[in-house]
Amino acid sequence: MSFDLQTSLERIRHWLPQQGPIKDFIHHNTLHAFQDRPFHEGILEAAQLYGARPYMDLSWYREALGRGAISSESLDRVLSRYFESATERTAMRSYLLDGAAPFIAPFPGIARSGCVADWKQRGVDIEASVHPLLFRLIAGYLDQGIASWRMPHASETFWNAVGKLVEESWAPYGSLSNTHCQALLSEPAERAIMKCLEALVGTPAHYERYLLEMLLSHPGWSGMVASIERKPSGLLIPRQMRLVDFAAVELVMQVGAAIKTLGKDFKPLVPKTRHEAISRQQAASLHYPQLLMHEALEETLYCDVFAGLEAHAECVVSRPLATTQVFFCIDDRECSLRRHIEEVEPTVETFGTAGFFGMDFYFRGLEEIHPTQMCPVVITPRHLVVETSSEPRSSRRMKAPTLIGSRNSLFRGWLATQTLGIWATVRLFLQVFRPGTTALFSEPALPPKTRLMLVRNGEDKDPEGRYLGYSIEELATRVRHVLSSSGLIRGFSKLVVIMGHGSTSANNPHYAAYDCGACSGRRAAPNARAFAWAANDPAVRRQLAAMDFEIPSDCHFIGGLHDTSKDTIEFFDEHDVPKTHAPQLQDFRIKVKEALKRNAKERCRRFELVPMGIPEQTALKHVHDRALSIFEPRPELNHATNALAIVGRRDSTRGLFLDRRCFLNSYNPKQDPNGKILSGILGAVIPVCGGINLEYFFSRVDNTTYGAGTKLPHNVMALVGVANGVGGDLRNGLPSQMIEVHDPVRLLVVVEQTCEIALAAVKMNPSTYEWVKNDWVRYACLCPETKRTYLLLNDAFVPAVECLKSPPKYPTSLSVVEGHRDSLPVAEIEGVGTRP
Amino acid sequence: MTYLLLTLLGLPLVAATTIILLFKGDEHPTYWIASKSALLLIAATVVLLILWVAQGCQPFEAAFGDIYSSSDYRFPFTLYFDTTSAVFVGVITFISAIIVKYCRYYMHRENRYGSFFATILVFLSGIYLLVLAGTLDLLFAGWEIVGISSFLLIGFYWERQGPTENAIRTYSVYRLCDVGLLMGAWLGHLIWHQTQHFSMLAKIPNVFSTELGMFQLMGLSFLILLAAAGKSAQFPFCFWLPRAMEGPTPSSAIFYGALSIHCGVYLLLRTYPIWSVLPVTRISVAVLGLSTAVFATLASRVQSNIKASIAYASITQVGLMLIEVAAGWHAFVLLHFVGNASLRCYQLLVSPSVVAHLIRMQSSAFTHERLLDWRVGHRLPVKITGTLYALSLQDGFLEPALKTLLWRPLVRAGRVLDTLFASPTRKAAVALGGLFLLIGIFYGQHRSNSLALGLGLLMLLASLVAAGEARSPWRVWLATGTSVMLAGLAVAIADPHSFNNVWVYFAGVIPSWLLGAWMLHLLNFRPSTQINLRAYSARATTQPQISFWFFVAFLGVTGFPITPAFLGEDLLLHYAIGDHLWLAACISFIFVVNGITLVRLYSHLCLGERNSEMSTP
Repeated sequence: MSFDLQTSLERIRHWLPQQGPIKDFIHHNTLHAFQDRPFHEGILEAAQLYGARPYMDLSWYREALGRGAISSESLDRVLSRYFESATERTAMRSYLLDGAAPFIAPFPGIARSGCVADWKQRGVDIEASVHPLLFRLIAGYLDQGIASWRMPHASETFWNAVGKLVEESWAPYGSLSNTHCQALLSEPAERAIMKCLEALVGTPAHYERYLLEMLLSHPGWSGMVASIERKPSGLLIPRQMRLVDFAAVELVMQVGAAIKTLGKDFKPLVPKTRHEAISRQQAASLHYPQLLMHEALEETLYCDVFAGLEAHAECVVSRPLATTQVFFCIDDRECSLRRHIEEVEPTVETFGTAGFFGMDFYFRGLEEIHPTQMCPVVITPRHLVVETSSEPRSSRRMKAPTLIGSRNSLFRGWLATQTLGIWATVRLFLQVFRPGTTALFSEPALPPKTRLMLVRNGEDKDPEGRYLGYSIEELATRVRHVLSSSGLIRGFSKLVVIMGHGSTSANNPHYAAYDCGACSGRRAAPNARAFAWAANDPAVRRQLAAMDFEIPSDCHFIGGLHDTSKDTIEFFDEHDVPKTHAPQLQDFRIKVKEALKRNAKERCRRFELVPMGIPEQTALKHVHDRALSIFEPRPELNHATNALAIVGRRDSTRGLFLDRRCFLNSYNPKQDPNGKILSGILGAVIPVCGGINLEYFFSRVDNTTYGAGTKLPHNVMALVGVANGVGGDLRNGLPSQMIEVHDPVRLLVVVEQTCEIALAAVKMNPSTYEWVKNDWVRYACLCPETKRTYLLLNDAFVPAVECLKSPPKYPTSLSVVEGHRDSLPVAEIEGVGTRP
Repeated sequence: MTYLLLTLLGLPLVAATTIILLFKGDEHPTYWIASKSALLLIAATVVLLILWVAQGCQPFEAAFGDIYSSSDYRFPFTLYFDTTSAVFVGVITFISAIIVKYCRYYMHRENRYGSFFATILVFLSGIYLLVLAGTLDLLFAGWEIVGISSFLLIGFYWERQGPTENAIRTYSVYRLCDVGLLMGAWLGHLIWHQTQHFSMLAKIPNVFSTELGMFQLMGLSFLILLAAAGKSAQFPFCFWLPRAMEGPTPSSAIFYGALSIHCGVYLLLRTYPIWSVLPVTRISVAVLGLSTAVFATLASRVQSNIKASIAYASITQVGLMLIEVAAGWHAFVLLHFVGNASLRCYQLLVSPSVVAHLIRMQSSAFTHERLLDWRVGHRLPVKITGTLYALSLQDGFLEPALKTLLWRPLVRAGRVLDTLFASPTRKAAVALGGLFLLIGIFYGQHRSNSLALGLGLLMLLASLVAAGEARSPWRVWLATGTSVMLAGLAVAIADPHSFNNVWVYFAGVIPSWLLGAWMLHLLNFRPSTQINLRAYSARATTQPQISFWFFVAFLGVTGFPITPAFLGEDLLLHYAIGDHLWLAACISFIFVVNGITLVRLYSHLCLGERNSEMSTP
């Protein structure tokens, strides 16, 4: 069998983690590579490949049964779906409930059981002799600014840089410095790989497997290298990173290690067909009980939601006419704030749409040099929007960092410790005992009034070929698209707020994971601002009118930003608000403040160290301080507990308590007879929300392999990722502090549409349909006519609820959560969406 | 005031015991106790300092009698308080209080919350003992407590292999350098014919006034320097510090940023009157400091991860402190210590924010250019910068060098010895040879001396066998036990006076050894059980209680200050060092080797990830 390096590496790349540099942490399906298989098969296969657990332990599911997260009826329903005969069912049931639960270790994984083990048998500890130096080299090469002395030749490819390093040093680089390896290093990387493989493996049939095992023995760095190669712009200090160079260096080091132990003429590994430690069937049967319990867990949650939605649909909805309309991101963290605003002020109408508000651009802020992408990763923007100011540049410069640079050097460090050292204690003392009063680092004050260069003149492009702003037509289409797909075509209120979101956290390398996912892990401020700017622009309005989309002239848009960790809201360009609208904005501001207090209080119930009956005002202060505390590993709980995505009119969920578990996208089924709009929405909702959901899912199920483990010992490596201690592999996925309260369930996407259109819409886009077809998200519809819910099972909708059960009713949201820390079932808030 | 000193020593210990025994590490009572003790410690420190200042900042000594005394040996419990102690106590109390508050939230919901706080508290009482000790022997007790709590916190996440390995590495370096202090203390006995008190030391204007030989003094000085270099990660031991950053960030901050890293400096300040007499040692200290500072600052510059970069920056400053100590600028050193401790502690605590901070810096138009241009050494020839880079990137090859020089030969020797005993015939031959040797010795002239010599050799051999053994836990335990017992016997035989006191040693060692043997039995290891001692068996997950007691046994056998064995070790050396310097050297040697062997045994048996392939013995 011949071996082609490029195609092999292409296949290998597929199995490597996809996570990029940590500053752009973007949620994605951890097991994206397995998405072409049915869910349960895929996760089992992945678990065997990576050496992970596919499900939680049986004991965990039993505990869930005990606290009611799995209901006994759901378990019965699941069992009856999986077993024909009643005796089998009872036997399995009694086993699930109280059979002996053996300790099931994670699968060994090919990286541990494959070539590494083979070399060990021959007395070569290949990992111990290669990894430490390899990690230092790659971290030094990719480093984005921690080391003040950059690696020499880092601007060349990794292969060349390492070659020159070895050549230009009298001191050895481990096994790389023996003559044989030096000779290899002088060849092109591809040829060196072939020579190394020949020496190490011998049989071309095993080359690819060997490479895969080698790269998966440190998935963090391999994945990082592959993703930087895929998207070099992810690094601010550019590097010519190629996976092939990385693999080549590692192989040469392996050859060196083998020579060191076995001598120059060592024999390649005896080719043997590798067998999995246990077969796929054995693995499946080992995890069958967990699979059943897992299905029951999901069934319990889903049934509760279906019942809640159906009961809610029965209620007659009548609301006063909206005076203010607010657009939020679909983010599950906005779910509760929307509910609270509606409770506080019934004349507010809220909408949910992907938080970049259709404004797909690169953004370069004032006094910044690197444009950042401000839309979902799947989109490649063609526009650049620049922020400018007519006022003079601020005179205050950014302070030199406390962490690196001169304070760590010999002489200046000596001066610094002799003088400023004690000052550090004062700062530390303040930040620990008075969090929230001092910022961790100060930023230059920006001038208050800035402008976005949103509308371009002619066809201006920047050197990279991006348009410098939008044309009027482009803006008009974007405004119309967002408004109409959310169902806002007529009935505009006087004030429309476009509310992006971001999250403040103080001492947190994963900060990007907390910001808006639809903005590639950034604060959505520029998007909200740009959208409001565009929608207010008279030229755009004229263009819209010409496109048969009239926005009344007394309707004013304003951009805002909700800080989901501090629970604060700021508005942009307030000076542009007409005098006639100012009182209404003021009124809204007061109402929203009240809603934020309640929201903070609702969030606080999840924080164990916050007393249960904390007053709302104190709760707000608490979340504010919490976000600015350097000692707080959980500035907020982020997307933890997310489980649902509902695409439909707000009326079908308004007043429904969904416990911050739900992504909410507005959509009016009546305006979409052929499902085109729905298909577009699903094209964003399913990958974005499904990605978030599954990242939480897998990080929760196996926090060691898929997740990053506890964040407490994390150490920032090269500014691209985190590792444990100073010498480990990069840790992908989410740290345990982010997922500990999360129950791993797949996302249930409910669309408000008839079965036919719902099915047709999801099938329009094959890549979206793959998620649904293979059950990586569950898909259901709420029929607007029959007001019944249907769940997609094997490509056909079946009625989801057997008996209608009305959810409990409460006067306010806060009365639902009173005295509870755990996830709560669906409840109905009386008098918000519904009036008798 | 004396009571305040006792409070500082005892309170953290009581708190730690309460957390572990009474509350089993429950989060809320644990924090309650920890925070209340932090408050009390602050109060005690403040009152202590005020009283002391009111007294005019005079050094004072508080004697609490003897822990053990016999006709010719005393182990007094004496505390000493002067400016150096005052500064150290102030910094310790203040920083630990901040850390306790910090960890309230940082450690929330973490597994082993209680053991974390308990270890921190044990560490506190150890370091208070270290800085308040009035004698070198007592200081050594604190020194050991700091060492073992370091081991526990580096290996806090012992399910993973990395932390465990790094914990072993650190402990091994500590152990190796402890011998400096151990021998130093007893060399002190020899020199002054009694336990020397720091208070006396401070009063002696010139140590030469005592009847001291220059070479003895030099030996003593270098031993102290060895101890200080190991604890403070000075050349050539720099490598362990960055790798010790495996525990939760606050524990790294308090240990390696703030406090424990400066213990070596404290030791040098404390023993300044001893070693400053000879110019050669003063120069050595300064040269050591300078070489460390130069090496560490280079290493700090090339580190691409934030914690290692801070670690090396800290080592650099400690190196400079050594120069200052040698120069005699002690007020300056104290100021430097306070500054460095605060800054590094703060830097480590906020190190996760480096991503947000630097990325913002780089995006900012003001700072971008400057950051890109930071490069050093481009004026030097490439071959030199290249070599410097290689050295700095790979920790100066210090660890492999030390390993090849010091540890590997021992292991190899142990293996060779082990194969000598492999078959029954060989065993018989060796035993017979040994018997003849013993008989020959017994009828020789200096009967007891020669016998002791024979036993001493046997003890060395046993210790080496234990170090080289890689398969059977029981054989390691037996061999270490043998060497430890032989040490006692050898001293008892060599010096008949000691007969009445050596029982103290055995009273500590024998029960510990038996406890360990029992625990090995309970862990289902039979004398015939063979396992791979390079893999980790994770018994602490499956059998936590037994593992805990095995740990206690390990501490007992290695002479940790929880059993009389600690005192006994002191005793042994007291007697040995008088006329049998070689025996003292042997005992110190087995002290180091057994410590390292046993910590490896314990780690490989009890720590590591639970994995199906290892769960059956």
